[in-house]
Amino acid sequence: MVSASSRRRFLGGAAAAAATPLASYFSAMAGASAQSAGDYKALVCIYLSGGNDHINTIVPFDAENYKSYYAARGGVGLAYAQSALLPGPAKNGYQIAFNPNLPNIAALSAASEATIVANVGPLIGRIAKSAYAPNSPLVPPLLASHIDQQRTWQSLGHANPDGWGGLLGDTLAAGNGSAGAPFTTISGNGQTILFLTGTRSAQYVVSAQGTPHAFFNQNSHFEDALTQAATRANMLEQAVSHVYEDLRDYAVELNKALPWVSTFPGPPAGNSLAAQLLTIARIVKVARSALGVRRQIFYVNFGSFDTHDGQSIRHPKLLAQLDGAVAYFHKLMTAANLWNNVTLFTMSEFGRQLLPNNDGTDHGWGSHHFVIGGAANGRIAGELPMIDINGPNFLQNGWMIPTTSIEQYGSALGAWLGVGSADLARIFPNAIAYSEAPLRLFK
Amino acid sequence: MRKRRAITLLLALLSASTFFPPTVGDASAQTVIDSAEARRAYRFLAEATFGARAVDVRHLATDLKSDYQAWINEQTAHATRFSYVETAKKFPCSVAAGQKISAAVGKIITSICPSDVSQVFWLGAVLDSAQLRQRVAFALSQIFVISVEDGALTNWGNASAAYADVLYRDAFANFRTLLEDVTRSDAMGKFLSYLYNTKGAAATASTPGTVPDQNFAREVMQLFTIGLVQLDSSGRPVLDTATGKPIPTYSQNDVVGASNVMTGFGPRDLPTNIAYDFKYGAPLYGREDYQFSPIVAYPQYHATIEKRFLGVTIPASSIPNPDGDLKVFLDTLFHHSNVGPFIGKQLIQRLVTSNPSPAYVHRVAAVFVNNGAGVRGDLAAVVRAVLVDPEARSDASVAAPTFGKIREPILRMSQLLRVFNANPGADGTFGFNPYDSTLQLGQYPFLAGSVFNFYYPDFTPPLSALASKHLVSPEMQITTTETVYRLDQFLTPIFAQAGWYVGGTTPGYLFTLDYRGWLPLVASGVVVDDLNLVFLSGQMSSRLRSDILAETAATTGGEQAKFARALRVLFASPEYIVQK
Repeated sequence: MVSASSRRRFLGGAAAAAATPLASYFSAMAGASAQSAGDYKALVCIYLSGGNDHINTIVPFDAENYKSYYAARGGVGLAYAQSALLPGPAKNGYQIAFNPNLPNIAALSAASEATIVANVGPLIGRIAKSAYAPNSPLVPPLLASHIDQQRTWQSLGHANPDGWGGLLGDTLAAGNGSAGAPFTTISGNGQTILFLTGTRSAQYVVSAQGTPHAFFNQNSHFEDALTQAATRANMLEQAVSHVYEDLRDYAVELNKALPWVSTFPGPPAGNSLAAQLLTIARIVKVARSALGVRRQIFYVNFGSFDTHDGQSIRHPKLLAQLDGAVAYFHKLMTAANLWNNVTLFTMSEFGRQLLPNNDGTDHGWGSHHFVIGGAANGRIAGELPMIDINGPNFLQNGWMIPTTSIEQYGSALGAWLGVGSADLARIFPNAIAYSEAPLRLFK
Repeated sequence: MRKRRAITLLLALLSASTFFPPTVGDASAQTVIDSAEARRAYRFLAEATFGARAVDVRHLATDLKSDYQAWINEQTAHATRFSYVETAKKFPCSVAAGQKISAAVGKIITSICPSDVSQVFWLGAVLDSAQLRQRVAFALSQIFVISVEDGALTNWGNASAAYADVLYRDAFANFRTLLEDVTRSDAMGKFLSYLYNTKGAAATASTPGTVPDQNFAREVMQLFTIGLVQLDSSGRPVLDTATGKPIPTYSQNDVVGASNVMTGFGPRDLPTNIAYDFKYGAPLYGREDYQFSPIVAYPQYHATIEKRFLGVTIPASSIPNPDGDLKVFLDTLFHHSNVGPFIGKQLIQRLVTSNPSPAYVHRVAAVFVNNGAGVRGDLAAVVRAVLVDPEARSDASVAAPTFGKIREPILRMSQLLRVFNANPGADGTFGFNPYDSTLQLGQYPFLAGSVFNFYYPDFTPPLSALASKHLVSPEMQITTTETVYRLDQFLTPIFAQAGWYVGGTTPGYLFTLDYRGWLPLVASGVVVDDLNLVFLSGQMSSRLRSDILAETAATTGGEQAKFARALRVLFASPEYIVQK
């Protein structure tokens, strides 16, 4: 957000964006649209906490790969019968199917509105199986550690202070005008999220319960007791005080923009993801018209997908929740005539191992993800792996070696928002380290 | 007062349908004469308890003449009468609320609801006189995390209650004992999925084989003992001289090696169908009592291959030895040089300050290594070192810009309940049912989002002065525009009504707050000075003081309305939220 006060926001200026080979990489992206007056676009990150088992989500379906999948997982009851699966698209002879609990996502795929991002994960460079060694500099550090891989997915490193969503937000805030800039990045789960942390713009925080309200009157003593961050010597008090200042400065504006009573139907019961998406949808609906916002990035999450055990019971329920929430959001965005303007995309700290333990799966590396919305091209982006523990795509421990990097994924999403190629090159410097053409996710 | 309260609690539990009025507070002694000594006592007790009342401060400052060591000695020697299991057993648990009946044969698996474990916490935190033990157990519960929110523990309420008792009982024990008892608890076994973990199955012609579950092997290292990177004795990462980067403590190979240790463990007194239980990782049908006992070994499911981890090799053998292998693993972890600084720093962060100096960590870690009598891992000694350290006790720390920690919502709520002599309501609880959607505390005991606790230990608020100095404030992760708003909206009617009053078909108070010693002081404004002493240890700025006075003056209505306003402003204020 851009603030005229003496507050803390301006920690670093914008880095000079040099013209590099990366610039041409991004500008070559078909479908990359500049920010043009009048249009609105938003990304919604659905973070699947705990590491989603991608192999039982986007399931190998062509004869040979399905057979290998069944051999790997059937023995402990973790393989779906082919007849139960929902057939999906194919690429280069490999076909996938959707988990039976994803009927709405499968339908969106059939309507070319759900793109699959295959075998994506943290990479330093493309790495062949033969080159893999646990502590090799070619391998991202601390793989399979929840906290470090969450950070890697959200900020392209396990110790980076800023998330790529926040960094994209930094470039987009100015285009949102002074009223809209504070709402460029919004966390929907009530917490401050690394993914949305930027160097200049701070995320606004809402939740499944709705948007917060400033509960103290302007210029009151109550306000004085809670704010005045700049006068406080203690840094922790300053941090708390800033939260109240955000509430003071922005809550009224956002709540004025929202109708007193939402015209949207309520979310499916017991679906916390859908409840978060309702708050997001309400903001999206008024963002352009009432706040002058043109570009936004949201974050919501649910889980836990960390199905080390009891997977056959827990995972279907989680996927059903995801599917129901996506269907719900689709309904809301269609009603608001914004389905082509808002794109959902999933992330998770890792996929899971091909080989199960006796009733679940353990942490992996590469994973599959979805990009869903009217603007998605509905294809398979990246390369589907050969399901073979002895093949080129899997390590002996069952980790899938990614063939698409998070940076390719994120930069393709950023390009759709209209972030310029120089900024994309700066935020995703490693995206060019791969031989294939830029990832194509959108129509 | 203690005995009377215990009787009141017991009666409340025995006749759940009768509402008992709150214990008469010692109204005339609600406050203590303000003095430097009193302020120091309140400040110390803010770190060592869930909130000091006048009687607690008088005991420390007068009876014990402000000898903090003596107070700690009393607390560590205090008999442990509190029990999660015994308390939770008294609460009825219906099928709707979480009591599980196995579909297979219809036998009840657990009589304690997982959510009851969260409710029982408050009874201990607010009413147990073994306050330091309760506070340390709470700190340990944020390191050795289980969460009943996770689906893994749905049918394991009994085990969850037993686990909470492990932390309470072992708060002042040896760390090796705590580590053993945590590892052998059914709840941790279920939560980190090594219960019924079986050795890997070799690949055959048609299947690639299976591997043991790696969850606990990784998290016991990353979260419970040594962390991710090598630390020096002050808790700072050691840097590789060649690369300048931190040095990992373990690799995936270590995780795999250790995962083979964690095989062949299950609950005691399994039903006869062991094969089924280990195959499916869940009991075919349950007996209530087995969840209360430590797990035991089932050698036939234990891996006998060679196991390598952290430079140690357990050779392959023909005879499976689960208990022996586990001992080697836990001993190896216990003796790692990281444990002292890794655990010591987190205890400091939970009790005193988020950003201790390296020297402070070093002093505490040294006590972990050797308590003065040659013993490694003496938790009572470590806690003592944390609390009496000059960095904690020094008056100068109060004014240090980076000193202090955010009081998480549970600490703020428990202080409110203790200071105002709250008692449980008719059902024997304080009403903090985590599945009650009207509850807006934002943090519930034993309901963290994952094994990573409510917040990451190294969370820094973005774009803050703390971030620019590479300092942390973990609790800020859950301190956002959303959570401060929801908490204020939850607390405001509680302040106004002097308790949590609910309507509906059976209206009544879930708990009451005793304002009687305070209300007479409202008219004169002296009440703000007492609030300062009790809640802020005398640290209130003149600015906050005048803000509160102005707000109460402007509030119409009687003294209770004005007092409620004062409380509302106080509880929301950054000065209160940061414990210094």
